[in-house]
Amino acid sequence: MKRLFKANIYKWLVFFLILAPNIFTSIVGIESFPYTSAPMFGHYVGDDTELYLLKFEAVSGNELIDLEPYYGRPAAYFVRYFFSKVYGSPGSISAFNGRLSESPPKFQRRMNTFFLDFATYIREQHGIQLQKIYLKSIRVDKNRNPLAEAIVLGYYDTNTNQYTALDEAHK
Amino acid sequence: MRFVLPWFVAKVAYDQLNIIYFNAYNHVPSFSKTWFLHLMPESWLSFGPESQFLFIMIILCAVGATLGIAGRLCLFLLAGLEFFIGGNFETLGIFDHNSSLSSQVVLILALVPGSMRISIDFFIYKKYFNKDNPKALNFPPPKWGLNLILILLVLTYFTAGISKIRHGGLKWLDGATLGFYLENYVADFPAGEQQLLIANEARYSDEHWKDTIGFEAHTYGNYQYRPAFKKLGSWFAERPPLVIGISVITILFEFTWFIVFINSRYRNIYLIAAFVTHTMIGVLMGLYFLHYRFICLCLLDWNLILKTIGGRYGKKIASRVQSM
Repeated sequence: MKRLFKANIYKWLVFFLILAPNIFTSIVGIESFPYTSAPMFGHYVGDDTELYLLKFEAVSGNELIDLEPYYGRPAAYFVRYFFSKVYGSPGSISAFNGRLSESPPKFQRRMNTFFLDFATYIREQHGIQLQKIYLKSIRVDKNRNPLAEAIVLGYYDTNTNQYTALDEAHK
Repeated sequence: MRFVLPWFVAKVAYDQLNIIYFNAYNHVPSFSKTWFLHLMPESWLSFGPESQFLFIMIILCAVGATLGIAGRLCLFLLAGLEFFIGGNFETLGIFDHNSSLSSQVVLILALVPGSMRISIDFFIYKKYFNKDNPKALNFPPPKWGLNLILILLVLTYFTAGISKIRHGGLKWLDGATLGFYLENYVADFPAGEQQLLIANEARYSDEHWKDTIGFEAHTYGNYQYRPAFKKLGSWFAERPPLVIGISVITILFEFTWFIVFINSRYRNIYLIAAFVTHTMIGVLMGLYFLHYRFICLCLLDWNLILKTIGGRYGKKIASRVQSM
């Protein structure tokens, strides 16, 4: 009897250990490997949906440099990482990371940390000192043809270690 | 499942580690860490020459798990390795939705009774540690382990269905999203143009303050490169009624997960439907989800299949297997 009781406790413990984090991520709508809310192909893409490319450009001395060759990983990985882990979707909860809250100070800290890491990596790996890094978005159609001029979302100043948003919603 | 799945997980872990190991930009800021990585010491999150032992550990764990030599420990370590490596891979930008399930199934195999019935560990235990009471081990293992894997699998499908309605609303059923992805062949574009961001109406939400655009999500890719399959995908995409039909069937499939618990017949129907769905996603989008398909095959009630389609010989084999 005692053995059966212990076996049952073990069984429910294993069920809890495996299912609890999975059910939590499903209900809340987040993901953190290996737990996911499976957001693949879930966001609507229709005729009125706007599609954008992200670009990172930097000022080094008198030059404006496209930073794509310096991402240090495939460009698609880099943009996906930046959007999922750094920039984030609107709202407190994003389907692409495990965060449970969002606020302007948290966003600012993440952007500053990301750009500091990125600028440091470029300096150490490629010997290029950057003064400013611009974050741009370009609206395109599904064949990647530009539909409008690039919008500068913001820039990072390596001297002050601050990201400044130029395209804030409330402005 | 115990003989083959560890190798699937090991292969993914090995390939991911290869990419991480040779990736120049692999610093993991705190905000990028997965929940599992938060449990790891900071020094473990950089990969240098000292990390090469991980490659050997992956292989040793897969061998041990398959043969059942310290089998449960090897399964546990292999699951832990993929949680760790997959988590680091996510910080590079890609969440591997294939191994996110299979690594958890490997963990389940480490923890549930019955997974080591055919193993060197069990043989040694019977021969040297349980000589006096051999009949005590001649009983079928409890089925809850298998049920747990089944629950995890269908939970994933259900979650995917919820996500489509949560993020896309009922509009998702109009087929436009699926139609877009059927033709979003990423290999057709240069590297810097493969990854798109999506904006719909989030900019009008009170929760939006970051910019005037309102990026909601990144797109996923269609990785099919075979011309014949791409032609097939485009053929579907050019026929909106077909795409709408596929969208509706997808949602129906994801929301009828519960039928697997009615009886073995419905379980088999659902799992075969899942296998076919993954195969079609593989053909049309280059995302083959091999781990999912294998797990579906393992969870089928093969006794019922043999009895149903195997004729007289099928029934004989089924009853022999059942008596084992």
